Amino acid sequence: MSQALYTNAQQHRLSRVIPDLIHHRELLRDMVWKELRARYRNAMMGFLWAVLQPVLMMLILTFVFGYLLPEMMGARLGSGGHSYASHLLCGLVPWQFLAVALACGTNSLLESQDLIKKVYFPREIIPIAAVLNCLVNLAIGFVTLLVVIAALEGPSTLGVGVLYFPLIFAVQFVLVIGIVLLLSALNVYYRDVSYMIEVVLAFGFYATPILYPLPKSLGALPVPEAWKPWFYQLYLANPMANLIPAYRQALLENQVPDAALLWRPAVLAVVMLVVGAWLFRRQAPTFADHL
Amino acid sequence: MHLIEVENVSKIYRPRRGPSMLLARGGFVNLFRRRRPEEVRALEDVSFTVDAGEAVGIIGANGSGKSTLLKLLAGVTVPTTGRVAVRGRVASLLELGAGFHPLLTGRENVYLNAGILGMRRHEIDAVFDAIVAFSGIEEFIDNPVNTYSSGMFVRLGFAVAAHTNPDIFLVDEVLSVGDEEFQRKCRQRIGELRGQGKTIVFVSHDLGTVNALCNRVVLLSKGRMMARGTPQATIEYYLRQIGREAGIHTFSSGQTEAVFCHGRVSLFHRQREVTVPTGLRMNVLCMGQWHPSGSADWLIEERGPDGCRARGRMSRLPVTLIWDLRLENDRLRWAIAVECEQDTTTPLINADVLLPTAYTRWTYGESLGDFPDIIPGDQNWTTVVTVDWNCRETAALPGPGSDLPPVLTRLEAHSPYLCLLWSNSDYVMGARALQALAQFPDSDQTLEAGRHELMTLHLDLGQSEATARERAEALKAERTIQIGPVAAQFERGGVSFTYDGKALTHTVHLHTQALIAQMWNMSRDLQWSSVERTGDRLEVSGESSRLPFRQHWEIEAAEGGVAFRVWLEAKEPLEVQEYNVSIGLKPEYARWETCHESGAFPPFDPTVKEWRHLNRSYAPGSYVRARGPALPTIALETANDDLPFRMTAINTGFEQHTRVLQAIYAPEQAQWLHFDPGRHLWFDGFVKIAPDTAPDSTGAPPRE
Repeated sequence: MSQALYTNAQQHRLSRVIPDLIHHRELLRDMVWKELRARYRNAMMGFLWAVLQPVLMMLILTFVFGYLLPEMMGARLGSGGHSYASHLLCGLVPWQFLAVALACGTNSLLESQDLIKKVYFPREIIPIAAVLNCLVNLAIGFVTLLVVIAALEGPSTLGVGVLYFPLIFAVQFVLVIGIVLLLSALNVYYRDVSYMIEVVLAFGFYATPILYPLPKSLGALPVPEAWKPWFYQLYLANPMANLIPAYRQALLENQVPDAALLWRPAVLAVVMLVVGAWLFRRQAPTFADHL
Repeated sequence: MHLIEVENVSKIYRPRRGPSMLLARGGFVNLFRRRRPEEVRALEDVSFTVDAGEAVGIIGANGSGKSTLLKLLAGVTVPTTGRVAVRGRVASLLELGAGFHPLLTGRENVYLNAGILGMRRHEIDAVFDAIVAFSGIEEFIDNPVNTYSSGMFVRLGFAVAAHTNPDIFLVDEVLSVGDEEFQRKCRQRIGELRGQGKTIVFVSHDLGTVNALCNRVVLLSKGRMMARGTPQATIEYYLRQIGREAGIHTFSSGQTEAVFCHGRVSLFHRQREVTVPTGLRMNVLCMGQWHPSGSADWLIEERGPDGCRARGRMSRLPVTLIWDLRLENDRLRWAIAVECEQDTTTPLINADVLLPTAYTRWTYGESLGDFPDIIPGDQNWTTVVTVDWNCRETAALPGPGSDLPPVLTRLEAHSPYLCLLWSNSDYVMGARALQALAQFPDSDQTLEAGRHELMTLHLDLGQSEATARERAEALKAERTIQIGPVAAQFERGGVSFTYDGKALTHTVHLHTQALIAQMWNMSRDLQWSSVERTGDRLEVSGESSRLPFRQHWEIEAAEGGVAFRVWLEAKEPLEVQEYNVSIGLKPEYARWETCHESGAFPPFDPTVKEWRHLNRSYAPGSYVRARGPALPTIALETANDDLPFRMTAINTGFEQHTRVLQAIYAPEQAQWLHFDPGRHLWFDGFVKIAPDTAPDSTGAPPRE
């Protein structure tokens, strides 16, 4: 028998987040499981869609940016001796996880409003479950990525670098959780947030080195010379602009990712997590009044 | 230690309620605007505690903050100021099926839902079978829940919630969902939980259930706590004091006061509450679900010192109930109409008058009787009287020592499908229920769009008990023929006989039976018209609801008893296997005789259930007679030789404990009686009653 003693004063406390989640771990697992069962029960090809989606994206983007565009523009996107397809997929898979997780996570509270209005349980479970759901797609994407690299670059390309993947992904995951907590809470009050996310993600797709490698500087930018470092720093402030090159280093170059690429996203991830969790906790007790 | 503590709790909904766009009302833009909508104070400074094992009811009008309070207790939201502390696990029955995923199976959803309610997996495993059994949907448990009917959905939801074994149950109006059978199950389960010492917080409109289930009641009005105390005191306070709110109207006349409150009417006579807290109410049955008048949205259109007119829009039906209530000289006139926005299918609409168990006797038409006691095992409503479609007047009489007034009721029916009926409610409600039922036959279940006048009930609280009895006696006299000391009284397909006021007949009395299509058709089951009386002659006909025939009875005073004639009026050709005319006699009758033989009625054998013929000769005869010590001789005789009857004497089974004299009309083996459409004489004879003259009848009682 659980001895849940709660008063309204305690519900606000940030320190309660971890114990609450541990206490309700089975519920969290059930919520994730529920979504997965429901999602793939009626889709005939089920998990196959999760494979097809990044592969098809990769094919069309490879076609456009790897062949069509270079031929027409007379320029070739340098990718350090790797095929453009594996280069692209290496950025695409982590980005897709971010995009889907943010979109689902931000709307998750609204979608579960019936539950929130009726039952008390740690509200964090809902957005976290939404993010965890996206891990399935990521796992499928990751396997696809390994297969593509092995096929196009030769199996020898994959080495110990693969082991760095979880490290980089951990940073990204914490970051996503933090952002989702923050945005899903805000989304309860301002429904604009979910639209905003769509725009930001579309913008971010091009502001992140997915289609192209990480630029060394922004030399070609038509702005005064003195501004260029600032713009470049702004560009690098996007955590995905650091993480995706790190993924490539690990998977394609079989190298330890540069610390320079990791520390900034890591700090940001921790800050986002604390801020997100704090704001979420602060607002969670009254979500039911606003849904 | 208090399980629940609520201290000075206020809940204010800020103007920016609900979701908003940044630029919409309540968004950022409002920061720049002066005008702000007013804030809503849902609860103000409410304090109370609940100890372990208590059942606390929360009552109040719509919008009084009941649901907000329940949400605070459930932890779904938090108070603006003040403190809510809850110790122990809470399950609120307000979340029936919350979190059910439509694509998942019932089994998966049970685990998920129970998990949401705070159960561990192994705990769910332990009660899973009980949950499925309770919900009664075993065979569907592995189907996705989007294939379930709404009733199954709710049942499964309730089953999970009721088995989560929490310390505190929050119950919000769930009892108004599902069919009657399921509601009963819910109440029973809640009763069990009480029995197990669980703490229950119960929010309801249904004052009757609150009264029955709770041992303390908190009354809210406009977010403030108005009273808390025993259910009786609080409910009474609620009904009398907060009368000026929208859905409530109090009116009075003479010694009687009536309170209309959201689809219920409570009656008070000399400051005593005459009705149970559920009071007068209505129910509409639609698609297998009961829709009580208390769950409708009520608006009082017109109020006066002596009455009001109110419209109640049913929440889940396109139906509006229109009540016109008037009090005059301690008489309540309750006119009921229904207005349908579209064609509505309803097999049954009823209006109930619910009275406390202090009423112990009833009159129903011309009959009088006692209500059986309601015992804790009574989970169903039981009908107390046999339905008589002609009965329009009835009364409930208080038991000895009660100072409640008799309640005389008269039904003015505007629909042909109405009947009155007395029932005992289940134990939880504990009420005597007078039900005016509009039972629409299959062909006519659809109420067309528009207004339908249904009925008017007149409740008279100002009459003395003697008046009620006199009325019943007068009605009774209308159906009785007196021939010297013998009285023959027609009563719903039977004729009972008394001699000097002493009953001779028993249970079934004089009646007819016909075996048609393998089924015995009893005269008691026919629908009888009202009795036509000319002098000492009664004529009455009874129509079968199943087969195309009527019986027409003529009962007439004759030499030494009554002449009894039965006509069959067949509307279509009718095949009858056999039929008979019988008299059920008191078990004191000891001997019988026919033209051919005679004998003693043996004692009743507890192991025998069926009826046993006592005579050996079945040759047609003209009479069968019974004698008993200190009883007048009673005889069933035929008068018409064209109709050869076999006269027999019968002992019924032990339970009925009745001697029967029977005139059987049966054709030869394997030959059926054929009746063409038209009128046929069925029985022509006499029931003769004479003071006992035979010397041996008193002296030789049957050996035991």
